[in-house]
Amino acid sequence: MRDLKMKSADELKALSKELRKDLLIKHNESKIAHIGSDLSCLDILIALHFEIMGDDDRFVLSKGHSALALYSVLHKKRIIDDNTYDSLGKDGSRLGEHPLYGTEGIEIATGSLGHGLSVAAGIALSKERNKEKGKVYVLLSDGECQEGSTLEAMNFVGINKIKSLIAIVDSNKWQAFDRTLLGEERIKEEFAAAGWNVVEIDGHDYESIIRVFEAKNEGPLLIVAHTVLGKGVKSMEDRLESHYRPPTKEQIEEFDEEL
Amino acid sequence: MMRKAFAKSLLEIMDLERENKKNDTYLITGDLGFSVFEPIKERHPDKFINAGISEQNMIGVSAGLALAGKKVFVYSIIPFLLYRPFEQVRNDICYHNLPVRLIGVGAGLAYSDAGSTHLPFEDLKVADAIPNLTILSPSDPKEVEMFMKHLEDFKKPVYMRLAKNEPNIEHGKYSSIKIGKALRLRDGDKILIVSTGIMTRAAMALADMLDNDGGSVEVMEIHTLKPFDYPAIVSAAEGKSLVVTIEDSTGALFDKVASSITGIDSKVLKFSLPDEFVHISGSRDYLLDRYGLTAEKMYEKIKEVIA
Repeated sequence: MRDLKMKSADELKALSKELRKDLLIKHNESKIAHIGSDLSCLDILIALHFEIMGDDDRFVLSKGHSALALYSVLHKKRIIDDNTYDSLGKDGSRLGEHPLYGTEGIEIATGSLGHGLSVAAGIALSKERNKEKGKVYVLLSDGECQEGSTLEAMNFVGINKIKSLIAIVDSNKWQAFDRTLLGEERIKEEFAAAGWNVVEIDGHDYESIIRVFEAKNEGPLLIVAHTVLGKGVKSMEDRLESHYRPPTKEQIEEFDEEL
Repeated sequence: MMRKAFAKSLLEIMDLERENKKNDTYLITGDLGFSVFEPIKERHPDKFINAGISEQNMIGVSAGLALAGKKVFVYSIIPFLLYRPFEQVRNDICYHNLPVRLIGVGAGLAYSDAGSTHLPFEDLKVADAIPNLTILSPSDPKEVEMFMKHLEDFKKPVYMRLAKNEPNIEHGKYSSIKIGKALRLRDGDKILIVSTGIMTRAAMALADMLDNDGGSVEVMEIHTLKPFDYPAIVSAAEGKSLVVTIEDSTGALFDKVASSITGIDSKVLKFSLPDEFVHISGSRDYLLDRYGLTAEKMYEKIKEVIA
């Protein structure tokens, strides 16, 4: 049985504000990059971990550069303890800018793009062949759909009709040095042609996110989530800088004021 | 044949698992195995996966299967198993220390007429560079069968290199094989030969030739390049005037042997493939002879050195 927490959309939004603030502070203190990508996928991570996923489900963060967003969720869920979380950005910490092997709640250490979809496919295939319950969720970046290995995995999942796999693309329209070169339209076409069901959602709207996860589907399912890099702080939104520069104190204040 | 020995052993493991109502062992192949894997595909379709011509995904999927508790055998020609998906091997399998067995075919010059794209002459150095990876280099089909028994419950990543159509050496020491331990195939007190893979056959022939001259040759086979059995090599090299290494790769075995016996007063002679691409085609025997790796050529060289 799925362990549905049935939080209201308002509760999830409150959680989103709390973890956004938490992430802004963590990035500011640690000077770790990728705040923009954390804020673009945070709402999806919250919906998955606090509402959608149950004990039989597994999650793979393929876009490993959003590790801090996942840490904040895992910390809030008490999977990562306070001491470990407080060590972020300090010498000797077990929490890396990208997830390290052995961290609580981390299925697989990623960071190099184009690995997660294959690994998630293997986990899902094992579940299906063993007739085990549960789904495997994998979060991809839109940029990582340029990796040949992502396309190999996309075709493998289509050929083998791995229905328990759900991939979400955090479509924030930016990659490290440009607008996403392989655009959203092309990504949707590719996956659809490979036999996936492709749906689109607003990746910051909890009702939209939860509705798509709860809907019955013939899988494999690709959810293209329209998101905004740096979502939540106007001066960071949809700007390449927020891929690199940690937020300033002023930007944290800006976030507070916008609330 | 090493390939057939591997396929036969794997089929036995899968058959036994089915009898015991287990469902642990998987074979995932990169579109290879014609005339070898048909029985596995037919009898165990639920545990057989053809990953197709997409090796990066093949390795990633095998990591996922292993994360879900499966014992996974991955099969391809060595360059497509180890080089094409190098980062998946490094990150997904070895970094996570997963029980995935990478079974590569075409070691050394086995595909001599296929060209440098198919010749993994540097595989041992490449594999040796990755932490957590156990490297097996069996010399004949019987050794492959022994390793398959040991691998059933082996918990770490493994790379095992198979050559092609080699017959058994019948060295009689098969039951002593243990992962991580050097295997003494002959005793002697003047010269030590250390060999790996199919070169063990040439090493044994060479030892016979040298013995006939009163050479008294000890042969140690390194079937596990990593973890390397340093103590056994150090103790075997004690008191020898000459240590000879023989490998069908670019010097990984020599490097390990030479570094382990730096404190011992003996000459070290290296027989290996050169650090270069192969620009000619021909039979393996032809190329081995060209590179001076036949027993006869090595014998001549040793005679020069000890003269």
